[in-house]
Amino acid sequence: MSRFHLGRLLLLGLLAGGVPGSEAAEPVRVSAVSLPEARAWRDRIDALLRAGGLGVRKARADTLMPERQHIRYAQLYQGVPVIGGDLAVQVAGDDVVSVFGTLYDGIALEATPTFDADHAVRIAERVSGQPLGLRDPELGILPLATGGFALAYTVPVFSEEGRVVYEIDARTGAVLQARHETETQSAVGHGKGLLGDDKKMSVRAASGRFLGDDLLRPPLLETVDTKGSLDRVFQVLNALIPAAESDLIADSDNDWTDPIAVDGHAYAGYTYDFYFKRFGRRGLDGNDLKVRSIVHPVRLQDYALYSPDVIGFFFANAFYAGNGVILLGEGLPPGVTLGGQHFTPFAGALDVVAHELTHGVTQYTSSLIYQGESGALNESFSDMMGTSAEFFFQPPGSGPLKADYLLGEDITSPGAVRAMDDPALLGYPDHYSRLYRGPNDGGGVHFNCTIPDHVYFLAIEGGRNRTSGLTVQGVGAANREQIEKVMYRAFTLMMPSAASFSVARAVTIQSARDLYGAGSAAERAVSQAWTAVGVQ
Amino acid sequence: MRARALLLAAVPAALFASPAVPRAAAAEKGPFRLWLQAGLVAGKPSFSETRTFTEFAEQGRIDSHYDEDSGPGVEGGLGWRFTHRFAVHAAASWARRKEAGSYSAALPHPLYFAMPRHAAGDFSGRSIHETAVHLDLAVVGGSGLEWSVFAGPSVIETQADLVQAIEYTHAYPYDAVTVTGAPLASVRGHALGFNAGAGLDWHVGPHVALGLQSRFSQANVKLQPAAGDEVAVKAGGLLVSAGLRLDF
Repeated sequence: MSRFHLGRLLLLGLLAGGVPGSEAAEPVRVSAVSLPEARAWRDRIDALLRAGGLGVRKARADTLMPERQHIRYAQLYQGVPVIGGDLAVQVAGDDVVSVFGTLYDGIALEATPTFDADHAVRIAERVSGQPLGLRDPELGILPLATGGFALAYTVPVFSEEGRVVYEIDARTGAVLQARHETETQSAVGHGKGLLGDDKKMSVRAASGRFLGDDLLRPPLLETVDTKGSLDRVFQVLNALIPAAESDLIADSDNDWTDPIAVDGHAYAGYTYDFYFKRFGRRGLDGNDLKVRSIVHPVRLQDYALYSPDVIGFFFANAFYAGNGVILLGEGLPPGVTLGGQHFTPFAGALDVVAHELTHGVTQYTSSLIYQGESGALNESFSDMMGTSAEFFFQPPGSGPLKADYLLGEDITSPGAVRAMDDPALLGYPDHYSRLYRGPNDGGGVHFNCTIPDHVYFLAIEGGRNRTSGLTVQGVGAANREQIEKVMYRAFTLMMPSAASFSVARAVTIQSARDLYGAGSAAERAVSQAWTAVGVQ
Repeated sequence: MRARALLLAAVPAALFASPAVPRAAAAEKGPFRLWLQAGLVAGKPSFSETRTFTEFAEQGRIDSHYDEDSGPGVEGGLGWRFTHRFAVHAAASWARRKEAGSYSAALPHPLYFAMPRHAAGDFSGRSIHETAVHLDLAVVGGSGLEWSVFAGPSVIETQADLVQAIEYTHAYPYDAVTVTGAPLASVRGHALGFNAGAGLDWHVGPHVALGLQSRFSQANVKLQPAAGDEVAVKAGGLLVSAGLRLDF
C-alpha cells in the first residue's frame, strides 16, 4: 500500500509560498514507489525546484546498479534549508523509480536572522561553558516539537558530555534545544571466561558504559542479561517486549568481571568468525542475521523454586529459540546433579554455543525437520559444527579449553554431553542397529544424532566402529577441513528437510565427490564411515 | 673508539713534543682566534627503538631501526691562547646526516588475544640534525704551519625523525592490515659528552690562516619519542672540516 498522501497535493502551493499564520509543523512523509506515483512526483519536484521550494543537495551514481542515479533534494524556505526536510529520489534514465522523504508544510516566518553567526557561537559558548573557536554555524528552519517553526542557527559543541548540538533562535537568541548526539562507538574490552581464560570483548561504548553489543563483526551480535528473571526471558523470547539497551550485558570500565557474560558474548563472535573464515558464510542466514544470546535466564539461588521442566530447560540446558536467538542455561547449583552429571553455565563451552547457533544455520538452509532421523541429523550437524569450531580455535587435547570430540565437556562433570569418537562410552548409539525408534525426544533426536556424529569422527580421524568392527581410513586430523566442508556443504546446500540417514549418506558422499573428486580420500572416508555405522 | 683513543693519546704527546713557538710571533698575531669552517661528518651510525603500546586491550609493539649516513657539517669558534703553548677554544658545530630506516610492527587483533597482525615498511629521505657546543683545552705549536690538538667536554643536541605510530586500515575479519602510513615525528634530546681533535693551520697572512681540522665528538643522547619511551642514540662522530681563521 502506498503511503503517499494524495490529499497532500496542496503541499506544492504551501511549500512554494507558505501559509501565513499556520502553526502546524506536521511533516508530510513521502513514499512513492509505484510508477504512476513516482512519475507524478517527478513533475512536482520540477515545480518545487522552479518555485525555490527544493534545491539539489547531492547526486550520486548507484555503484550496485550503474544505470541508476540517486538525487537528494533539500527543502528550502525563502532560500533557507528546512532541517529534516528532504527527498531522496531514485532515477533510471528519465524515469523516477522511487521517492522517499519528508517535507514540512505550513512554514510561515521571517527567514532573516537578527544577528550574525558569530553571535550565535558566543551564545552556545555561554550556555555550554565550553570555549569555542571560529566556526560557521548553519542557518536553517527548525521544526519545533511543540508545533511551528523557528529560524535557527545550529552550533555543535564538544565537551565531556560528548557532542551536543545547540539550536539557537536566529531572531530572539533563545536556545531552542540542546541535543545530545554522541554517537556510540565500538570498543574492545577484556574479560575472563568461566575457565579463567582471557578473552577480548567487542562491545559498544555508550554514555560512559560498555554494552554487550558487538560492533566489530558485520552482524549485530548482542548479549542480553535477563538477570535471572524468567518472566523477562519469556517476554524477550515471545517478542512481547523488545530487548532494551538496559537488558544488554554491561560493564563500567570494560574490564568484564561476569564470566558468563564474557563467554556467552565472545563465543557467539567466535562462531560467526568460524563460519566466515572456514566457509565464507555470513551469519546464520548467510546475510548477517542479528544474533542475540541470552545469559542469566534464571538464578542459581532460585533453583529450589522451579519445576523439573524449568530446571531441565533453563538451568541444565541451552537452546536455539529461532530467529537468531539462543539461550544459555545457568547450570546447576554446586552439589546438584542431573542424570549423575553436574553442569556449570552453558555459556562456558564454545562447542555448545556453536552447536546452538548452528541450529540457526539449519533453520535458514536445510530446515531439517526436528523429528526422527531428520531431527537427529539436525542435532548432528550442530554437533559437527560445534566440534569443528572448537578445533578451529582451541589446541587439540583433553581437558578444559582443548579441542576434542566430546560435546560440552567444558561445562559437564563427569564426562560430557555426547562423545562423537565413542558414542557408546556415554550410552549413545554408534550404529544404525542401535537406533532408538521410540516416541521420546522427538524420536530420539538428541540420542540418535551420535550415529552421524560418529561418521564425522571416523571420516576425519579414521578408526574402528565398536559395533560393526569395520575400520575406516579417515582423511587425518591435518585434513579435517575437508570433512568439515563436505558436511557443511551437504547440510546447508544439498540436504532435504526430511532427510533420513540413508539420504544423508548419499548427500554427504556426493558433496565429497563434488569438492574433492570421485575416489578422493574424502569421498572414501565419508563412504566408509557411513558403512561402518550401518547406514547404506 | 679507536679515533678517540688516538686523539686522547695525542694531547699529552703534543704537549711535550711540539716545538716551541717564539713568543714574539704569537704576540704579533694576538691571543684570540676566530674560525669558521665547513666539512663532512663521517661514519654511518645506527640505532634502534622498540616501542610498546596498548590497543584493543593488548600490548602491541613497533621495532624501528634507523641508519644514519654522512652529511655536511659546519663549525665556528673562538679561541684564546693564554700561554705560548695553551689555548682554550669554544666552538659550536652543526651537522646534518641522512636518515633512513625501517620498522616492523605487531599490531593487536581486535577480536583475539595473541593473534597479532604484522606490518613492516621502510622510509628514507629524512635527516638527523646535530648541534653541539664544545669547550676545549688546546695545545698549539708551530709558526707558519701551526698545529693544535684539543680535547674537552661537549654538549650535543640531536634532532631525529622517529616513527610515532603505524597507521593502517583493516576490515573484518581483521586478520591483516593495510598500512597507510608511519608518521614520523621530530624528537630532540641532548647530553653531555666529550670531543677531541687536531688541527693544522697554514698562515697566509699575519692574521689570516687556512685550516684543516678533524674533531671527534660523542655523547649518549636519550631521545624520548613518547612518555615512557627512550631511544639511546650515540650522537656526534668525526667532523672533518676546512676553513678560515682570523687571529687578533
